[in-house]
Amino acid sequence: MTRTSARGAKAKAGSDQVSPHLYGLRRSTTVVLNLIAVGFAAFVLGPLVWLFFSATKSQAEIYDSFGFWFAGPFRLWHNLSALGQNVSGTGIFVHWLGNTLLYAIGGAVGATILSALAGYGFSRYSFRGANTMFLLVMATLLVPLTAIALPLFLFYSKVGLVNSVWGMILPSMVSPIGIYLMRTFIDASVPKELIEAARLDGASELWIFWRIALPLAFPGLMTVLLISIVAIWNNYFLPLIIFSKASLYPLTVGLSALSQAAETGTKAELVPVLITGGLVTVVPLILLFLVLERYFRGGMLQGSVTG
Amino acid sequence: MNVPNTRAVGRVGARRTSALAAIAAASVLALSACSGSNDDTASSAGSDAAKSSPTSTASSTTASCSAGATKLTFWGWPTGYDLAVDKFNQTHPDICVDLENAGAAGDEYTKLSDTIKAGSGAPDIATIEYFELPSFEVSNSLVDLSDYGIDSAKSNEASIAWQQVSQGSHVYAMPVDLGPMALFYNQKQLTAAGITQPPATWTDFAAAADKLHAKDPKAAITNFDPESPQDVLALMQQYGAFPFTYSGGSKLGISFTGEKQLAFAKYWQDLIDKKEATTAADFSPQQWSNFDSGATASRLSPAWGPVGMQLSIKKTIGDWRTASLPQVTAGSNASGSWGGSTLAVVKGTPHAKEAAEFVKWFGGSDDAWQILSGDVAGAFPAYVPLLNDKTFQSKTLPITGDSTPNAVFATAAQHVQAAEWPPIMTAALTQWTSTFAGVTKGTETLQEAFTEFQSQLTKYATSQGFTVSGSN
Repeated sequence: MTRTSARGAKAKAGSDQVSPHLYGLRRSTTVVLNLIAVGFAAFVLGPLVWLFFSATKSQAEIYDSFGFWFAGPFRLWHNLSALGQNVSGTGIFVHWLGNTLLYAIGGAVGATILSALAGYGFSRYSFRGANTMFLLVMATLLVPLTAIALPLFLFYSKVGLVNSVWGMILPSMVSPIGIYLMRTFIDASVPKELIEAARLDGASELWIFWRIALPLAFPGLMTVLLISIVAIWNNYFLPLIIFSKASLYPLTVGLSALSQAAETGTKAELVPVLITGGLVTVVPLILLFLVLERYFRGGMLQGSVTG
Repeated sequence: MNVPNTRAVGRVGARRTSALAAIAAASVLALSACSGSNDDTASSAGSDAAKSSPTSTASSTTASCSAGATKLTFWGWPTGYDLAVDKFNQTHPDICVDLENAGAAGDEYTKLSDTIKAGSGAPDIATIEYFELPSFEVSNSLVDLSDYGIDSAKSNEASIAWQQVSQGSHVYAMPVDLGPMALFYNQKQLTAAGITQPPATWTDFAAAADKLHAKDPKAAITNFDPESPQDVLALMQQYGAFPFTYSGGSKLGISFTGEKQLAFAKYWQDLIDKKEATTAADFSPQQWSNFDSGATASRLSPAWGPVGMQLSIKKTIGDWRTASLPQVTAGSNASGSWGGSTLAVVKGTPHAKEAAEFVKWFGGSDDAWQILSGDVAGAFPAYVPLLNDKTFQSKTLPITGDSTPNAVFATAAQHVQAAEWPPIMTAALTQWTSTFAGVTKGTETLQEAFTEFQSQLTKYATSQGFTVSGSN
């Protein structure tokens, strides 16, 4: 919420001179706001920092030492290599990572394309039932997946999507949020006049979509791609329902299985493996944000810069 | 085609601002919504299974089977099961078992009942914990193994294990492992407090708790996690206060408010009130560090507990010893069981005979147990020849120094009190945690939680069509 209002304020200030006291706030207010922001940052980053330090420890040290500093011998490399070892199954971690990559990239690219198509349709064509259909798409956001778990499974079972890679990728390609975002984005960044001008010049509808709408909506596409990747990467419930083979698990379900094993304690020292696995699971997402961040921010702020 | 870009920009600018604000809001919502719901599912699934038997992530066995072999699918999650399956496939060329990890405990049960409802995708054989068997029996989902000569395995299984897999002459699963409970205590600490003998009765145990606490106000005699249903139920079982009676059909006894149950609740509530029992969550970092720091001097531990414990503590390795659980009446030797699982053959399999042969081998043969009790799997047997085995009984662990914990646990395994699980355990386990959370927080007593749980569970069972008889 703070992000949203900050963006709004910045957007308004965009064309004016920005005063040294930003937005006319008093210094004391700025300090308080910064402190709150730092507090939130600590709240969000704390677990990640803990994850990193714990990934360098042995099981007993994890339970016994201060969580935000090193303790005992530095075992990060040892723990990392344990991810690849076969302690009766844990070596499958690398396989899970590959699965997650496959599902996330396949699903997110599909979701982005479909969202762009649907969003463009809703935004720039008027057709009978458009609003009803759009509301229907939005309404699906309100149905919790847990409520439809059993019917979903029975349906999947009928059409042969249980224990199939497509069972994970196909539903991930449908993103109501993505459609909503693309519609809003195209509303704002692809002018109707531009499309009409292109039509007058004899461009085909597909050409207009491909060469005019998509480039203008590029930051929006990146936003949807990023959101979809994160959503699929973190999806736990769907793969949990449809997969009963460990070789198909993504990281989320795999880590959960590992966690159940680690907590109750078998002969293998699984807690450090689990924690290191958690670290390896979040690092790609962080890297992805760093790489795509400029598009993401560009997408959010584009209106303010050109407006 | 050059379209001047500037033409449209000015006009839509104002709308953009609001649209972008909406995007930002929606994306923040979307991100937090996904992560939120994920956490919920993950943690609830985790806590279910965390409190059950030792689990792991057995990967799929890529069995090298001969072409004509009968193929069986086997769902199981405990560590090392893949090794035993490999051994079976090598020694039984006519049968080819394919092990799949369909999730641990609750995750697997959900999938199993879903696939049974769907009519396809169910395995031939599934790992099911003792407490969950009646739920599958009542939905008529399991093959009666007594039709396939399972009875010959009976004499080799601990009587509590066999009692839990059978209803009368019907046998619905083959027992594999068991979690008999014993008192696992820090001998150094208790001796230092003047407690030289492990308490023989619960009265002695409470007295020892007083003594220890008087000497060191920071020390509690043991840990009691009110939110861990399987732990509490195992202790109730040993106390002669097991709250359920069920022997198939639609009649179900639920008694959390009977005389014995409330006496059990009072006993523990008193220890908790006096700070002589800690209430850290089972398997939590807090619990481990309590054991290591001396804040908690003993653990009422299942047989599979010590191996995990010695990886999670470091200062007191070698100080721990094992004794029978304290008794209600002096001279008896009752125990309870926490965890343990079975192999059941799922109805609808076209190969029930082969599946029965496999489960009988898996739970009841020297070959299988050599692997299952080995270093990787570390399961505690319900298989009597191994329980009585001298080498097995004299095994030592770093955490217990030169003592032999298996000897005590093996005796306990033979004296686990009867337990009849109700066919509504999934619901009971889910409800338990929220009802008993107040006891940990100190906002309600264990007696109050028992009373509340009694009415909640009775209501649920009645709504499921059971005729419930309550406490007397």
